[in-house]
Amino acid sequence: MHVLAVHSLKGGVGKTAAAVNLGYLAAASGRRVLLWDLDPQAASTFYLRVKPAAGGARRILRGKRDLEPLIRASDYERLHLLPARFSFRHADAELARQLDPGRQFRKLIRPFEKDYDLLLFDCAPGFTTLSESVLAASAHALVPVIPTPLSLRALQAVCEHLNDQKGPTVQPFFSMVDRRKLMHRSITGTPESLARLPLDSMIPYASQVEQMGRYRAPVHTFAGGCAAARAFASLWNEVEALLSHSAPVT
Amino acid sequence: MPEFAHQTLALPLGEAIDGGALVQAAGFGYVADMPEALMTAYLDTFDGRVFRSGQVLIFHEKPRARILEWGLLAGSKGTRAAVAHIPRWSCDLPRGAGTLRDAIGVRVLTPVVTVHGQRRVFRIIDGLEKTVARVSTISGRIRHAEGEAEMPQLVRVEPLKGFEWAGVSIEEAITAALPNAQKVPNEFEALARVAKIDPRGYEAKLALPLEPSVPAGAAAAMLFRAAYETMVATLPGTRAGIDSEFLHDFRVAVRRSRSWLSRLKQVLDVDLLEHMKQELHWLGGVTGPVRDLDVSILLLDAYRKELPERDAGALAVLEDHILFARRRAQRRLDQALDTERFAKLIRRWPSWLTNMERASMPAAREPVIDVARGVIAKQSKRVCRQGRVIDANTPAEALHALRIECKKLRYLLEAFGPLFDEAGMATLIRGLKRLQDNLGAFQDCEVQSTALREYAHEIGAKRADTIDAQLAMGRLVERLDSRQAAEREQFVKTWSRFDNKPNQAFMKTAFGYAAKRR
Repeated sequence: MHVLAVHSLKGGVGKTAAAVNLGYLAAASGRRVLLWDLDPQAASTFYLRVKPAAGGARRILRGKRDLEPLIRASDYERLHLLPARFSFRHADAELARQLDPGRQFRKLIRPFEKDYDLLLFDCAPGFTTLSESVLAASAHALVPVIPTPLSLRALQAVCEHLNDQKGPTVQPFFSMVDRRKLMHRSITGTPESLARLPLDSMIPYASQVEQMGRYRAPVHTFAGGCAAARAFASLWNEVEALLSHSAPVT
Repeated sequence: MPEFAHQTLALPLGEAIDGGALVQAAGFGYVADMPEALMTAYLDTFDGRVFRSGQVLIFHEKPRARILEWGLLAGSKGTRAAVAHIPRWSCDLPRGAGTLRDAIGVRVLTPVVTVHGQRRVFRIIDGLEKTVARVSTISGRIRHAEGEAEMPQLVRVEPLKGFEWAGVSIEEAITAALPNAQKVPNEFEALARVAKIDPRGYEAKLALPLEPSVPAGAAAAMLFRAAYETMVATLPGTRAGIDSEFLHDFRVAVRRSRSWLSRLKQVLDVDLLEHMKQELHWLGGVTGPVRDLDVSILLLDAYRKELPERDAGALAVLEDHILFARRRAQRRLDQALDTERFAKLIRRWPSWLTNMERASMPAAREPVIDVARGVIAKQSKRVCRQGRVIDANTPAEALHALRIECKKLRYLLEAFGPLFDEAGMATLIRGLKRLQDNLGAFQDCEVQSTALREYAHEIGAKRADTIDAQLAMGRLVERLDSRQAAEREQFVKTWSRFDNKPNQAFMKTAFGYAAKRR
């Protein structure tokens, strides 16, 4: 099973849109995919029309609750969801009590190995004990980056931190790219910026991505031909190539 | 994948139903997806190893994905995975398909039946418009090796993970709405039966319903019919040369026939006997070289593991040489199988069976049990006589001769097994099998050692830069020689396990053969 985390230090950068669309495209390509919504905001859970749960974070994080019965099928073949739980807002406090939270997370996901080819974490923004534990259990961290100096600075901080930790490989890509903005054009167009991002795909700032909340579905299901859908398909192709060159984590 | 096992219903042939109307009539809201073209191949080995092991293996070609689905039939959940291409060998199967891999062994996988058609999916939705179950209708035509057939429309109800309650209620409602439909526990079996294909494939193992009172001539016809059916069934695979097991089974059928000819001569017409002997001797000869090379190919991996890395690398030259020789031998075999001589042999075989049934010899009219007792006793005597004189100084030829006699005894025991006590027969065959394995391993060392020497000469004559390969082959010959010596030492033990008191007692009761102790 390959394990990927969609993570960002900043919020509102298109993490959930990327996680849901990549999960959908991976499942459409035949992979058995589990998307774990770790964000108490429950946006992935909402997009996939599943009801978020409330409590139980402590028992889950201590490994005292079987996760399998909590999984829900999405509307799409081979794409399953582990819905968000509001009680995960206390996850840091719980994990901080544990000696090795990263190891605990690896232990939690081990039972999924036989049933899934890809586990995709949709992380809450920020560097928290929870996100660090998730990253420790992942092979790659997909990081959406809005082409602004602040976002690039945040990305640099993430890269430096993860390199120190010997964590997952960081795979940033530009997100919410608005070609009308000079700054976006200049940042995404300069060789200096491009050199920093290993993934070439750029997700545009598009109304279709926002409409995911209206349709509660991945972009491909209601606007398959739009630029955003093409960009997510291109991103998935790059991620798929990445997976084919890396050994499964579990 | 923790998808729940779906429930499939088959409508009577020629009937069709609109899935949307069906779901609506059952009282559920739904969303219809776009119809999708479907190509579903139900895979199995030629001898039905997947089906016989209670499993199923299905390949789906979809517009954007190729999916392989497998699982146990007995109430278990199926597993699905994306694959790059349709699997042919057990090594092509994804991780997690270990049980299936064990069942398939060395056989090649082929699509037994393929459905070409259309799948319409109706997503059952709840109040929040969330899909809670899927109902799909599948219609199209079945394609198989012999041609095409009409298929019944299938209605599949697929409960979804976390929404099992919906799956149960829609399944009940749809089953009630389709009183004429039949529940299909195994889609492959149902579709194969519609296409008039036996899902169990062909059976190389003899399992004839022989009765003790059947005339020996008729029993001989049954045996030779079974051999003929195996030869006909394995012939396309033998010609294609993709799976060494086809040729192996083909040759076993030829060898069994030759062995029965020599041991059942009293029930066969003399002219027929001589003619069949001659033709089967020829057939055994023309199929031999390819089989020998197949054995060499199958042993290559074992050879590599035995040698140090550098020598193992040098074996690439040997592999090329064997593969080249295998292709050339296969061409010669194909030419032999294309001759009028072979065509005539296959064409005339059914008339030989009639000849056996109507044979006028007195022995042909005797009950088969009497004839079987006599021939098995005689063959047992032959084996015991030859086996008991073998010691450390006996030449290899004597062990080979004993091996051949053991094979003949085994073919007789397998053919007439149903006439005798099952438990005693099983013990006797088990001991004999162990002995054959031992003698086979001894003889294989001899054959492979000789073959490697020949390959080394041939390779050396062709190319000058093959010293490393020849040295590696030399080391292999050394190892084979020492293994052969070990097998010879083992013989004393395997022989005593066969030629023991319980087996002797059984042979005396069952066949009337009492061996004289030395």
